[in-house]
Amino acid sequence: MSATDGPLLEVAGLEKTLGTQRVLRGVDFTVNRGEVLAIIGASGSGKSTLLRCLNLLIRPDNGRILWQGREVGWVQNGGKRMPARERDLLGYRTQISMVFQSFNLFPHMTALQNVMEAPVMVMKRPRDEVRAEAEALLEKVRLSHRAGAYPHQMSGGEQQRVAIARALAMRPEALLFDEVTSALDPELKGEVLSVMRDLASEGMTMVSVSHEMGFVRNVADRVVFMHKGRVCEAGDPKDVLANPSTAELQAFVRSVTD
Amino acid sequence: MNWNVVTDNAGLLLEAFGTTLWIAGATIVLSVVLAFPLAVMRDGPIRGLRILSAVFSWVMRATPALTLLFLTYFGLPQVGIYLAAVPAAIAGLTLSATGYNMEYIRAGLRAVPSTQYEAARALGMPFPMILRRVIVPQAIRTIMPPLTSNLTLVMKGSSLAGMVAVTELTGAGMALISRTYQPFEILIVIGLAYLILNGALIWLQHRVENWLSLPGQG
Repeated sequence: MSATDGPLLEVAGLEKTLGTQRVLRGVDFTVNRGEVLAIIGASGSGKSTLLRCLNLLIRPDNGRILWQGREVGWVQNGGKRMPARERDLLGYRTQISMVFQSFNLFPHMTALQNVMEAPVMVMKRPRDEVRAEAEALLEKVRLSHRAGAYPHQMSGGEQQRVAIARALAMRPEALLFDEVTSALDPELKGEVLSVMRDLASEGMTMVSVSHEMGFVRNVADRVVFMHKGRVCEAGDPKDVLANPSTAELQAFVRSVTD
Repeated sequence: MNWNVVTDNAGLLLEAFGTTLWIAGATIVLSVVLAFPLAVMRDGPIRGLRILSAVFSWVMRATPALTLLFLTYFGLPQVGIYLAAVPAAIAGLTLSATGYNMEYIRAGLRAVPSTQYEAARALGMPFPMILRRVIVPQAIRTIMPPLTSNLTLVMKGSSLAGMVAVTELTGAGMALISRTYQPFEILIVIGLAYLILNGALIWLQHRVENWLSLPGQG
């Protein structure tokens, strides 16, 4: 199996202990190119930790992460498997961008500057070229008119759409979404979800931790249900959510639909 | 009151003013420049550097500035390092001021939410770039008021240099007083001089704060 035919991202036996808490207890799944994978589960089930392990913001204690068939996060050093140095992870992170629950825009930069920052500073691309692309990305998230606004002058929904544009500005192969609508008022969720739907229909590979069951059901190609640090159930969201086979998922589906 | 004592000795007082400006200015610039890397090291990822900067901060803040000043002027010659009075005073005062500055800078760096580091790391930024582009520009707003406040103390603390044979404002004033027995006029003029020096420092603080402020955020 060559790198291009296989899954874009493959996770096997991922384990992570934070303090005394075993947050991840052996997680396995794959993400194919162009696929939208939703991760659901009760709070404390390890979803956000799992997402941060995928771009190595958090180093897993054990397990393997394969990106386009090649292991990331570990290096072979004289026959010994060693954690990679932070600076060797930077290139990988530019290929798998992340959008956060609390937006985390840089408050001292305008929307446009937020979007331009990484391509100019990290990728060292020419500023004029990046500016044109950043303006196009703001247009795509329907925020051209807010290019000069600072984060504190924007609504939560606008900030989150700028954050998505910022993530896209790295021209990533995949996007990670960490409960990106959870901090938003109901009337602002829609504008963010519609941007995500656009991306999905364009074939962007996405891994999304989400509580938006409508999004999971209608947009995700596959859903992974996490329970106590493990993948409890996985499959097509229409089947899995309609006919949960485990008692845990039955309880979870009841709790989010009530 | 007889202001002749001031006009007659204007040359001496002006020279002392210049010396104070030079010592305090050099101490302020050096101590801020040195404090930044120490503040970063203090909470940084390398254990050895964390300990080193913690010990530095403890020693410099726990020791009287005057003791440090005596150490650089009277102590260093004993181990073969001879500094003239002014450089020795600048060195001693800088050591003391750096210990305090680094704590104000450190507090400001820590006040930036950790989610900002996370967002920057997720964009593939290396640590020095995160500091320069993301953390410091935000921290500087928090740092400015207490740091400037400390720098006004440093400005006034430069009078300690008078204790190691530097003719700065306070030292020159004391010498004049013991010669003329007219403390009131002389102390008023010296007080005004410090007022001008620190006034300029505080004005500079406001300029920087204005320059850093974001539209609509005051």
